[in-house]
Amino acid sequence: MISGFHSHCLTVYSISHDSYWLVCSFEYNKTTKAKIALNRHVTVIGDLATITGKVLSSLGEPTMHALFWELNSQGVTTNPEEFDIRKFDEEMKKIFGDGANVFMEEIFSQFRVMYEQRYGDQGPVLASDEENLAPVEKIQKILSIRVTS
Amino acid sequence: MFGDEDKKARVRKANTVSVKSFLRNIILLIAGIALAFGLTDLAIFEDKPLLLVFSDFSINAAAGAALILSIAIVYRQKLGGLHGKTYAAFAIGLGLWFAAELIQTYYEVGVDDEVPYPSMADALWLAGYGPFGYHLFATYRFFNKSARPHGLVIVVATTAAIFGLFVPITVLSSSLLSDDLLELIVNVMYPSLDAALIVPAIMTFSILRKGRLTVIPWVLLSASILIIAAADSAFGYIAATNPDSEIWGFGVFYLAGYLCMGGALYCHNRFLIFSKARAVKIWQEENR
Repeated sequence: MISGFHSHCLTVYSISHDSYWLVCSFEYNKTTKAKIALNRHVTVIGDLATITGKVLSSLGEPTMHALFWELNSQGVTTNPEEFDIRKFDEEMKKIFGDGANVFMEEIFSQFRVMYEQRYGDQGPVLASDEENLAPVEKIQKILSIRVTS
Repeated sequence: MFGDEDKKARVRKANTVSVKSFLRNIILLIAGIALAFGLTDLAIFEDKPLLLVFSDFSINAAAGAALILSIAIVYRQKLGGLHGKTYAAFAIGLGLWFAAELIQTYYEVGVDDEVPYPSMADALWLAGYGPFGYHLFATYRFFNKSARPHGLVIVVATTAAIFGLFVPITVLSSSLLSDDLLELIVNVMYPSLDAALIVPAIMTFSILRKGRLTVIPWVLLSASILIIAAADSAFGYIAATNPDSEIWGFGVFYLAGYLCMGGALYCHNRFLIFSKARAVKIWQEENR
């Protein structure tokens, strides 16, 4: 803990003792918050990928695997570490046409429930003017503004 | 390194569905078979017993092939999820229609007596509309959220207008020519149930028409229902208005309808059910 703490305070040795602790504390909090946000982002992306798989499985397991294969062959990975919802949305539109909206709506709906259960104490998930956005935009809003902030 | 990536990209591209060429090929194949059937019908038109055997056996073969494909889908898809349930219903519907075709063939070819109407075959045909309806309505309900409301109004209005013309004429003609209430009910049920299938088929097609993997099955499925509905309505109309006339030439429509169904099932089986063997083959091509 201490070594980690000091590793973020290399630039403060020349200042006074009190200021040293103050600046170190500030640096430590900032870095840890960024790490927590990053970890949370990775976890949430993983959850989003899991929800996506669950929604696609509503068509049946063999169809879900066929879709994963098709998505993968078009360069869209569904691995939780690399999952990109925007690329997924674009490719699903190519596969299902307007029918892709059904999946995106359901993914957003389940993602919202999951997010509210986990981070609901931080206020509303979306602002009122954001409710009319496309599902992929709403998911992106949550990911970029809420989760990483 | 880059060479490997290029090769993989080339293999991926080669295995990506080329919708236009695939659809063109499958439609050409169906049109070719239907044309060959129609020309053969014309060539043997004078020989009525042979025409009957050829026509009935060809339709049975097309319905049987579609049924085999649907059973293969149920085997591979299992019963889970939307497709599991809807394709199982589709297979049941096709099974009923295939049985009806066999019974009709038995009446027409197997026994010399006049074909009864309505017969057991009609009961099976009419029962088949239930599972087909489930397949179409369940799929439409699933994708319904993506539908544009004015599209539904247009399709329902057009279908009602077209079939609204046939049903009263059929009812009126049948009631004038026959006292049999059951016959009247059956005459009305065919075009009415056809119309009930057309609405969800076309609405689902309108939602999925731009999808690379969904356009071909839904073009073919909608086409098959439209072709069979048109044939049923025209057949029912002629039978009701000219009961003593011999009706020929409708076999080609039923054959084309079953072939389109078979094509739709083939596409679902090929593209929307994961094949481990195909995946391994492509992986081996990529990594050769």
